[in-house]
Order: sequence, then structure tokens, then C-alpha cells
Amino acid sequence: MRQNLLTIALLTFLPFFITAQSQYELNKSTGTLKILSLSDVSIEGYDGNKIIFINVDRDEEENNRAKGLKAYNVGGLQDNSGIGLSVIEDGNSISVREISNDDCCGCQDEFTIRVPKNMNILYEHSDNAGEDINISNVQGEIELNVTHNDVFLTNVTGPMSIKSVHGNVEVVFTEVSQSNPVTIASVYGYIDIAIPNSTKANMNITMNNGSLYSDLNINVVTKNINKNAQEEDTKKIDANLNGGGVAFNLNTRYEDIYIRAK
Amino acid sequence: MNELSTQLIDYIDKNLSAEEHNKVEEAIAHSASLQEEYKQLKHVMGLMAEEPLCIPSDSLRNRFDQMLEKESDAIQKTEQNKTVRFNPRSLLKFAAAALVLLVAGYFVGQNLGTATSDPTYAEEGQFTEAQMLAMLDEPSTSQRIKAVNIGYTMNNADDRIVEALIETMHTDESSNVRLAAANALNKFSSNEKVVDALLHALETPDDPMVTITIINILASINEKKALEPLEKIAKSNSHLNFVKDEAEVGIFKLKTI
Repeated sequence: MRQNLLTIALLTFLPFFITAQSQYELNKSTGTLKILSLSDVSIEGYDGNKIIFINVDRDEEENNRAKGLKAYNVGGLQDNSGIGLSVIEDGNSISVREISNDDCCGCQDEFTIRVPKNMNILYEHSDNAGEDINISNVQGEIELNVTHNDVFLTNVTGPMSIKSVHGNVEVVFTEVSQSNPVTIASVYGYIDIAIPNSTKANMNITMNNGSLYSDLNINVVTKNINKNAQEEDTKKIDANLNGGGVAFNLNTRYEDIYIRAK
Repeated sequence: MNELSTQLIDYIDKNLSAEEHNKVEEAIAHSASLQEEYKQLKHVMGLMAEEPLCIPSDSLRNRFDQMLEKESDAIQKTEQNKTVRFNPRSLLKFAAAALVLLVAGYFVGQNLGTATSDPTYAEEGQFTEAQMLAMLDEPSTSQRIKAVNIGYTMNNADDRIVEALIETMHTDESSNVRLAAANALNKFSSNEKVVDALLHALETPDDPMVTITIINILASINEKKALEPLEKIAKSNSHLNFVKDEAEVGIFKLKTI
């Protein structure tokens, strides 16, 4: 009975938590946005010239006692945005950190950050608990260094450098920028990328225990049919697509790699 | 700078004794390089003289005097035997040197910029060694990875390329680039320097993925010197479990093969 009451209470108050949110804006449309300690964040590119930070979880009622005061964290940083983030602009880069001394799983706030779509994004996260990281509609350079997070990128173009120890990496490209390489590595996760059929690329693929799957016309350059693949410690495939182009460096250790036509 | 050129500033400012003044004047008349130096210095000093003079407000001056007094008290307390001389002339010399460096730096920077951001280089095989080395200093992570790829694919990679890759593996700020450099060094693992660098990197704490990549390379080339650092990693408390597992696998390979 007590549990039922609790559930009803939760369900009644949940909408308040969900709808409560607060927002902070920064006029900036170029440079690199460095997101350094946010556990739960979605990044969306848009046609605009402001970075808009939204705290999806912020409950105004809850913080009445702290009204007019600024939060500090153990690193000495202060909440200068008013929504639980330290946002520091330094020349061409903006560093964002969450101001929370809570280290229990799931206690951190959820954020959405809307960025001018040509900005570069750097996201680093090494805590034990990692939520999914979603990035969409970004045409700038993306760099991710994560330990536990699964990575989902949609409507992106590269260049990008992505590394997750335990997470899977899924990327859907609208088109592939030919300027600089796409580099993706995961130890325990799979890599799944979708690219347009006409993409020109050089593929440098390394797998230790996984396989490569594709529905694209991949032209493998390094053929060594006589070698027994099972005996090879590291399986390496050099290949090109549509005559070659920008480099794709793909590297997994225990899982498979999927390259599919979009 | 010889003695004469150090006297040039005082000469231009007419601060020399008549005898010294004549000596410098004569020297300038006889030396083309000194004439050039004189002309440049006079130009720079002219520019400085043209700058409008900023006169600080009284309160700023007071605050500065107070601060100066406080600082000089503090210095006297700590370094009683040392006297600190503040010579505005020497400051001018430093300012002139800084200006020259700034101008030179600007031109060097411009040349570097055009060498690396030229969009006509699409294929990795078309880069020269100098371009590859310059690209390793670019702010863009993916561009530095591109430079590492170029180093890897170069058919005639010499010691400079290998050393640049080693330095990148040790010092690049992005672990993505350090990982790419470690992977690229796999190709040069017959080079003793590379093996030493990999062993050294194994003993330095780094990103876990960089560490396991290095463990794999050393195990695949059957480098027995790796046994000791690997055993350290396998027993350490500071490494993540999967890194320790990799170290165990590496030890197993090195001991059985």
C-alpha cells in the first residue's frame, strides 16, 4: 500500500519536474565548445548565433532557499550561468562544467545544449556512470573522449575523433566532409556508421576480435588470401570507397564494425 | 649586440658624452650594418615617441606608489643583500627586441598558415615531411590525426618523422591523437628508439586506451623488456581492470611465445 501511494505521489509530481527548466544563453557562433564534466547532455546544432544551455531538470521551487546565491563546487568553480553550470569563455573556446558535488549515479541534472551548427565540440567524460551522449546537426569538428558512454551522432559531417572504452558508437552522416579524417575507436563497444553511397573515402580498419559488415562496395586494397585470418592477432583492412578520399580510421577490439549505406 | 650597437639608443637620445658621441658617429659612418641598425632603431624609437603619452590619474599613481612601496619592503625583507635596479633605458631595449620578435613571428606564422591550410592537398601521399611536421602543431585534433596518418603512410619516413610521432604519443594534449600516434608507431617497431619510447610510455600514466594499444604492440613484437612494466601494471591499483587484464594477456604471450 505504501509503495502504491509512493507511486501515485511520484506520478502526480513528475510533470512538474519534467516541465521545470531553466536556460542560459551566450552570444558565440564560432570556436570550440568544451563540455568537460556533464554526465547527461544532448547537443543540437541549429541555424543561429547563440549557444543556448538548457537545464531540463532544474526545479525552481526546490532552489528557493538558494535564490540570489551562487553555487560553488569542490573545484572552486561557481555557477555563473544560474542553471548549475560553470561557463568560462577563454578566447576561442568555451569550457562548460557542471556545478554539483553530487557523485551518486543519476543525481546529476540533464542538459540540452543548442549550438550554432558550425561550432566545434569537445566532450570528455570519464566517470563510472555514463549516460548516452547524443549529438545532432553539427557540421563543426567533433571530439569525444569517454569511458562508459554510448555515443549517438546523427546528421553530422565530420571531421571527428571519437574514443569510448566501454561504449558503442553510432554515427549517421548527412555527407562526409573531405577536409580531415573521421577517427572512431572503442574497446568493448561496436562501431556502426551510415554514410551516403557516393562517399569518397580511404578506410583504415583494425579489429582484434570483431568482424566487418557492409552493404557498400568496399574495395579492399590489402589482400592476403593465403594468410590464415584466425592466426592474426590484429586484423587490419585497408580499403577505399569510390576511388578513395578522406580517411576513416576505425578501430575496435572486441566487437564488430558496421559500415552501411544511408 | 656589440658595445656600439648598445650605445646606439643613447646616441639617438643624445645622452652620450661628447667624446662617446663622436666615436659612435664615426663608427656609423664607416659601417653599413651599423647604419642599417641605426636607421631601424631610429624608426622604432620614432614610432614609440609618436605614441600618445598616457597620464595616469592621481589615484592610480597613489595606488601604484603604495603597491611599489609594499613590494620593495617585501623584497628588502627577503633579499636584503640584493639591490634591484629599475632602468627605463633597458626597458626600451627590451621593448625594441619584443617588437622585432613580434614582427618576425607574424611573418613566420603567416608562412606556416599558408603551408598547412592549403585545401588543394587532398591526398595524404602528396604531403612533404615539413608539411606533416607543421600539421602536428595545428589546433584541430582531426588535422593532427591526419598528420599522424601521413607519417604512417610515408614510404621514406626518416628519423625526424619517427621522432615526431614519438613526441606526439608522449605529449599531444588529445588522447585521440596520442592513440593514433601509438598505432602508427607499430609500423616502426623494428626501430630501437620506438621500442624504448613504447616502454617508457608504458611506465607513464596515460589514457587507458593508449596504454592497452602500447601493451598490444609490445606483446606482438615479443619485446621481453616489457615483462617488468607489464607485471607492475597487472598488480597496480591505479589502473582500470581492463588495462590490467590486457597486461595479463601481454605477460602470457611474452612468456609462452
